[in-house]
Amino acid sequence: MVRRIVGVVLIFLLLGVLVACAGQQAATPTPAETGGQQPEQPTPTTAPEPTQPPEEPTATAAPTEPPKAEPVTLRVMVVDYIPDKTDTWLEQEVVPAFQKEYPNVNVEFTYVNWGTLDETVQGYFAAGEGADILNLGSEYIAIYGDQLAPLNKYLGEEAWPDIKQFVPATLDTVTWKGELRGLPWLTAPRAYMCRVDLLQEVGIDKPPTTFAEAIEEAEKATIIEDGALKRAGIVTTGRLDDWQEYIALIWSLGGELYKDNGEPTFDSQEARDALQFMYDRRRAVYPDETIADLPPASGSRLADGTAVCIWGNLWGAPPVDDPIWEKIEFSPGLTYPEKYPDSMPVVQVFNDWLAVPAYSKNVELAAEFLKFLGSAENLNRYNKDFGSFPPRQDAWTGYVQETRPMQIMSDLMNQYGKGFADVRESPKFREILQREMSAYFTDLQDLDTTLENIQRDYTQVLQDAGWIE
Amino acid sequence: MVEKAYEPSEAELVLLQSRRQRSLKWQEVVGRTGLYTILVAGSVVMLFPLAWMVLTSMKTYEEANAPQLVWIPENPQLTAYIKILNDMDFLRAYANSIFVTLLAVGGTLISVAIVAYAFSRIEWPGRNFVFFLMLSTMMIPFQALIVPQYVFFNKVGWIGTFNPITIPGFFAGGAAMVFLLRQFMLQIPKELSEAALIDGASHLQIWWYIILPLSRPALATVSTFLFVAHWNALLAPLVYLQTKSLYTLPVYVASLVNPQQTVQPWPTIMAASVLTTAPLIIAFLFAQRYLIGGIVLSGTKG
Amino acid sequence: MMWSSYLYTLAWAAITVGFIVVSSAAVGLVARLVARMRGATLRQQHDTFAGYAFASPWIVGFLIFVLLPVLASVYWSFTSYRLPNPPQWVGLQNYVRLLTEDRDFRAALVNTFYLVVFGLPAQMVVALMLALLLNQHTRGEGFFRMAFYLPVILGLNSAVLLAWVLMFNANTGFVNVSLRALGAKVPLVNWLVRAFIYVVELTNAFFIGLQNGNYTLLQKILAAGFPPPHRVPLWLQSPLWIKPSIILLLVWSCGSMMLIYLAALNGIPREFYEAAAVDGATKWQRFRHITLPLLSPATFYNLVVGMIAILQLFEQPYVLLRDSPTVARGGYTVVLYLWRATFRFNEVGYGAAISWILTVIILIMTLAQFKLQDRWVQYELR
Repeated sequence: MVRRIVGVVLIFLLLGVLVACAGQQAATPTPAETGGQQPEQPTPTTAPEPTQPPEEPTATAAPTEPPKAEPVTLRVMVVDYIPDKTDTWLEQEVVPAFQKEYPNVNVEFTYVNWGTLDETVQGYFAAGEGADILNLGSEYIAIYGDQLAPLNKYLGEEAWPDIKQFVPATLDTVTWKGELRGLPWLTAPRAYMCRVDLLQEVGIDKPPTTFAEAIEEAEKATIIEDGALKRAGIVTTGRLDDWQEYIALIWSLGGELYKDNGEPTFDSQEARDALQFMYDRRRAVYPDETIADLPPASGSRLADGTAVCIWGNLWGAPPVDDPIWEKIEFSPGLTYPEKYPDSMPVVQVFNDWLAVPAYSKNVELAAEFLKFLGSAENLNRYNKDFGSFPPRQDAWTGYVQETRPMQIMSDLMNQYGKGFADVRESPKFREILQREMSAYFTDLQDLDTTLENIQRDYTQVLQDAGWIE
Repeated sequence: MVEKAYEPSEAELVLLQSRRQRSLKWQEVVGRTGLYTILVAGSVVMLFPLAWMVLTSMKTYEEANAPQLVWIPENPQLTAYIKILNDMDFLRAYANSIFVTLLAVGGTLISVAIVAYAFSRIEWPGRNFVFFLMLSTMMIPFQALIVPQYVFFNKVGWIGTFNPITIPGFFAGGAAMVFLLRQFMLQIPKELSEAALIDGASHLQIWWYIILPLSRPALATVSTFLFVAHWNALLAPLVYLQTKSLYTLPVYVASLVNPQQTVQPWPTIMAASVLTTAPLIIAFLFAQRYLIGGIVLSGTKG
Repeated sequence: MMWSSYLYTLAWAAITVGFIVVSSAAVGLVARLVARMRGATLRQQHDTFAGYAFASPWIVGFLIFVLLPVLASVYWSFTSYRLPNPPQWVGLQNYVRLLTEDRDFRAALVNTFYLVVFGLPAQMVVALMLALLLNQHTRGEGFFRMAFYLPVILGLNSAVLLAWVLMFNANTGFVNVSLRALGAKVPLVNWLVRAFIYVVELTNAFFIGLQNGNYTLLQKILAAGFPPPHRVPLWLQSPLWIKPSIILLLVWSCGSMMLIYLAALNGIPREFYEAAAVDGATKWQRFRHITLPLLSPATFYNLVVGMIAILQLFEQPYVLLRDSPTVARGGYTVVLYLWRATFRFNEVGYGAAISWILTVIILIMTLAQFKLQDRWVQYELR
């Protein structure tokens, strides 16, 4: 039996090698060649029109063609949503309103999260088929720019005067090669927020603004019982190894991510000091790596008091009209004045947006939907749930002007804001940073190795993608 | 075989037995008690995740995410079930799972039965070669094929449809299942079909009227295995379906966890989990007998 | 709306059935023609037709869904292929990068190796113990057997895996809370848990050292000494605990191995034990010299099947780690990495190369098992 299997395997391998050698010149052996003619596939969910089968045996087996479906389905992939809140709003209010103008249009939503966004979008582009509108993050234009439909024809100033209301910086994040590729739909700045009442209990009177203060705060405010964290001095949006915060810290020291020749700068002093600081701060919260993490949150960690400070947008904070805000103070960012006298706090601003991929067969309709969704009223309503800012100025009404956290955030953004953009090859970059930073923070490797690994792997990624020679 | 050097006589055995029984009686009692304790403890451990699923599904959100573990919900409630049963996407996923599973299991079962017949009841040149070819495909990890198959299905425009997770099964997908059925069909006496052949029956008739009815237990095993495999499948649906309206249950339930949220809706997720696993458990209770026979059949021959 | 996607697939199912019927007939006819030319008897011709016609659903499926993809993927593994662009020939570059540069791949290999070395024996030992217990023919045997087997049915379902995520929370998860409560009442339990933590962390730190090429973490743990009383396992939180968590899940679903053992146990004639008892053999001797050798074919089967299953592990690490990127590397398996490379980063060529390395590993290890079996597998008592 074994011998037989070996024989079969050998045949397999031999065939494989033959194909591999022959394939060098020959075209790819595509199994699809058996598939008869296969013109543009109709979206299967809307119009079932099976193409002619391979070697169609009997005519009777083929289904009768359904009557040509009039209605069009617009598919929208959403990643910025709050379950049971913004999704129901979209489905039950926005779509019916839109359908009053376009009665034959059906809008279907797909919700993904940031962990699965990349593979979903990659899949769409690979298949050349998928959602007609994609919700992308701040830094995505450089990755997908070429694969997105140019929209100046529909959203440019002549076609749609409203576009003038949009904050120019937010439009920058959706522009590629002189063409708008989508519409911004939320602006979320990130800063440090602390519960001053809890700070005062441990003898600190204001949120930290420097590296040294941050470490002191983290150490004093943390409570550990029975080898488990009961209260963390600080929690960032992810855990204490937030790659986006790392970038914010590099920026605040005056560093950049790329050199003039396009190489990354993780061999710089700024990158080193920022990472060292994050490690020290983690040790201030977790004296060693045997401490069990915080239990699952039962609401915002600022509200339930399991964290004294958080770094992030208002999404992870209590609702903007919660009375708890009277006890919460802000810090725009952390500096290192002892070593970098010029360092300035950086408030990272995320401009998430809605793009229309070039493969879409309903580009014009998608643009119409974007215009509808991008009205001042809709953007205000949507961003309220998030505690984020509408990207158009005439939508800065209501909660934006009336609530204290929004007022403070908008001041901080005006003074210290820097867009989270020009982050090249971000899916892979994120992967590298998360992997290496967590290895460093959990003592699997030291600072030098970590920085070397990031620098080398990211250089490779940038080379593969053609950013550097 | 063990060489039996010494055969005790009947009388000697009885004597031995009775003497041992007297002296071991109390040990026996202790032993049995211990045995049951271990067995019960083992079952509790094995079944615990299920119990935890049910318990969590009846908690409030606050209880499920409380900083102190809540063992048993104070006021068990069905809110989470009502919520998930009003969730159109969940119901849709349920319908999708049922559709996909039924179609795939049906197609696979029939084709597997046909192919197993060829490998067990007909003599034909090349049979052994083809059979070993089939067995050797079991060693190619299915994940190795998923990349090229993805490209292939992409070319024929099947991505975003149920086709890639149902149609391939129609071609006797699953060499292990063919193997299992073949083993069973080999045990059916040859004379049965020989006689029918001489009477002028075709192989198709023999297959349908003689072999299939006799193979019912094995078919039950195979269909249960297939049911479990398709109902649980995660990787292929994840890769091929891509649209929420097509999601099957495992993909949908996995997507309920949203890492951006600090608070996870655990009761809802667990209610969905309970409803997702219920058909599995029911199927298992009904088919237990066959399943166990099937595993043993595939494991002891070969 | 809703029905159209079902109808579409049903239509294709009908077409497929038609296609299978026609192609089966065609394959059968060709086979009969060849048989006739070779001068086979009428009966032989008939059987040849029927045999090929009946087997052809598999043969055709093999050609379309196995052979073609295999050939294509072998070719692609030598290319840089990022959909939707056409593949570009790069020679051995993918393989070279995988085997020499790619540290994630090396991590995935070491992890998979770890799971085979520790997970498989753990699974088999527990399966054997459960089978021995069940073999005592107690009351309610059917119930216990069901309870032990049920995790196999449920074990790969993502819904059930999510329940494990909940139970594994290091701080307030059910597992650790019970360990704490038990440890507070019974000092022995606390001591055992700490010993367990020590052993697990040391071995895992060693393996991580193997991946990283430095053993600082191992030294750190050694320097810290025996864990203090308040320590609990950090299941899904720490890179040291990812693989043990997965092993726990594997052990939990060892039911099919148990059934194989149970069947083999039932097949051992009672007389062997009676004879040995008469000879005055102790329980342990009987187990060692009768049960264990006679179980070796079952052990062999479990070993081979279990090993292949672990080498192809995907669902558990996927669901457990999907949302914790920080520890993900500690739990990457080869298949999980393959999936990420292909579907997350859209690199078909690279993914194909990974899958071929995995296939070769599986082949080598399976063949090695078969080669080694003569040394220890006994089909009869000697």
